[in-house]
Amino acid sequence: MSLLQLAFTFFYIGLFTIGGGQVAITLMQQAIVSAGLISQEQFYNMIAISESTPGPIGINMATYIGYELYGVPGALVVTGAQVLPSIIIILIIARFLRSFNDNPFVKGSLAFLRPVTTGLILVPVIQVITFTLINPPEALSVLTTLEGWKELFNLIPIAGYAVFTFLLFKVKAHPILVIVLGAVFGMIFL
Amino acid sequence: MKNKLKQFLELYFAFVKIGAFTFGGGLAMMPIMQRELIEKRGWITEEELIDYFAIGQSTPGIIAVNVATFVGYKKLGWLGGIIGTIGVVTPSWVIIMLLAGAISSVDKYPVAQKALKGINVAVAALLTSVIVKFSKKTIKNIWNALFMLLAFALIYFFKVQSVWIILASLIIGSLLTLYRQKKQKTSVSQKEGE
Repeated sequence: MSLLQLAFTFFYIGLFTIGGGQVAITLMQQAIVSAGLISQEQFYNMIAISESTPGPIGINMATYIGYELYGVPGALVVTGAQVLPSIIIILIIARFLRSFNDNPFVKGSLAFLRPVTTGLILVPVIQVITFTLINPPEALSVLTTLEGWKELFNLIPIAGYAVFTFLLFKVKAHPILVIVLGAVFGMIFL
Repeated sequence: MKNKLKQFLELYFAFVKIGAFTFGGGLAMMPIMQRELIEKRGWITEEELIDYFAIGQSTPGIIAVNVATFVGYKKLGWLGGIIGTIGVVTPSWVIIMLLAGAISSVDKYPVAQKALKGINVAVAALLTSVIVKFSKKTIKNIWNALFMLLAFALIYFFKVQSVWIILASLIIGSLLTLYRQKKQKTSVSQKEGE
């Protein structure tokens, strides 16, 4: 696959990524691994590294694949191609919103949407909290014993979570500081 | 001219900072955006961030990029949208290109994995603060609360795609506006008739 073809592939991936980076990764796997450009094993490795490094995971993956196949130009072109459809679409929507800012229908529909959006965001929030703080039991019968309840909660992460929440709400700590503290906390206690 | 350049640079580096401290999906950057774009710089309002997020969820692309384009456009037009987007992807470019050659597998770096586990705990706390702030802004009556819980349940338990929920909400919101306008008109004409 030439760099130009690769760019078109990622333009297509960008265009059909609706709902976040995880969707993009599924599409990349279909396009790149199935074409035999990168092995399955290496692809999973790249996901692990993209998850562990700063930056949105979808962008990290695109950069990584581009770099792996065509070096620095590959990284820049592939990421550019992937974000291009969303830049175009968002600029059109942003322009529309600016022109119809005072339209009662635009205002009314966005006002109705806002609490719904809060509900949408609550989903990944609950997922991250349960993923980091709780060990889901293999069977509910485990919960009839005290040991089972002890196993259920990851006590050290819960303590860290309590401290970070306190820092955010009461001390108004900067989110970046909390992320840095999180990394230090993990290196020492986890 | 010089002033304009300074504004573009500020926009660019604000988004470099946001991109550099995002781990995983785009939602993790919401608290940093709240602090940097709303509280510190006043470039957008809380409502706008919520709207951008919802529109980003239902349009192509990665949420982080969509929000960067929106904010950049609002601040400095279409070129601002592009500059903001380049800013948010810059850390990925730099870090992945530096690391890709050096690292073959994360399994070899147990310390980094521990740090990442700790960052996940921090992200859980950050997301809690996002949801509290958003709820304060968006949940003002019992109906808001009901629709929020309904949206949550549809996705969490029934695995409905969020794009359909957003589109349905926009349609219901428009119909409610139409209904309110009609009601207002009839009440006005009734008064005139008396």
